[in-house]
Amino acid sequence: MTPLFLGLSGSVLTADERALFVVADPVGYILFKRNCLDPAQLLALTESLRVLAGRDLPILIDQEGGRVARLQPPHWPVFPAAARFGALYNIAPLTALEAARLNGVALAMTLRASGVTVDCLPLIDVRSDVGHDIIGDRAFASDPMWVSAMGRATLDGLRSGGIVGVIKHIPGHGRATVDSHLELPVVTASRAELESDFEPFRRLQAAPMAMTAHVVYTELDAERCATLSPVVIDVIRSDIGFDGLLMSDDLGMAALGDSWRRAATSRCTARATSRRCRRSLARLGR
Amino acid sequence: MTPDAERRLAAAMAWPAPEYNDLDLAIAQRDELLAHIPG
Repeated sequence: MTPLFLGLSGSVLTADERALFVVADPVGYILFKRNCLDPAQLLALTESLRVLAGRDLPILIDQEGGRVARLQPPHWPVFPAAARFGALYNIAPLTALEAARLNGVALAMTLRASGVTVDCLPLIDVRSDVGHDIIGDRAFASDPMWVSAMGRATLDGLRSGGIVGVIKHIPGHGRATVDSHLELPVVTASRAELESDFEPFRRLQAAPMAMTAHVVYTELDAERCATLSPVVIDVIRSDIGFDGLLMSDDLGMAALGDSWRRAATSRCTARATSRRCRRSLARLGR
Repeated sequence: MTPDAERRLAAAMAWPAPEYNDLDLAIAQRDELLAHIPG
């Protein structure tokens, strides 16, 4: 298996994609809005990926609720942004935890019905007053303990509904002042200040999967963002204590530049030799 | 894939058996709780 989760171009597998995926043999796939038309189509698509692989597959999606929702009405329910659970926690913590757990259950049932098995949720970044709105209402709250509690409730709900959760963006994206989809965020907070960002990840260290932040933390490694930094990865493994499957955020995000997209493409190229595969890779590498 | 990555992947993908089967009920219960937010 190639250690990549690959994306697809549309709502059905193309002939080129079939040829590429057979030889590239990725660990799994990640779906975007362009792949999701309605439940029946999505179930057929996820089944076609499993048939092609000849095995069960992790099929991922970013279904957070609020503005990050690949599955949308009228075919799927609306899910609230995390900040709504934070607002409830402010007046009734136990009620908010149960609401977050039920939300995880509902998300899980919605995803499983279409063959999706991993949700890139919960987002347990701690909201910061100075942080860019790319996190904003996607975060539960600005208190690390509140975030930890609601993150755990969401993870428990997902698990109860049969879906694997991914804690993100480890070791914490809340202080980033720019959007990593567009440029590389640099966080200059001290190690003591970063401890509050690490706290939810430390408390949820037993989560099955985590997604790294494309963020530079100058106090840890001034040269490389967390995704690419052995120093930060060591902090994640040793200090935060996360021992589950660690995955990167999207390699196509501008924070990483073009080099990592090219590296991922060449990883597939090493396996793909046919003209048809090379045509697909050329598109993936655009 | 390194052996460690394969081990971690296998552990993560040990699918838990779903304990729920009523989506509408879960959403209704959630929304009843969220209705406590003032305003």
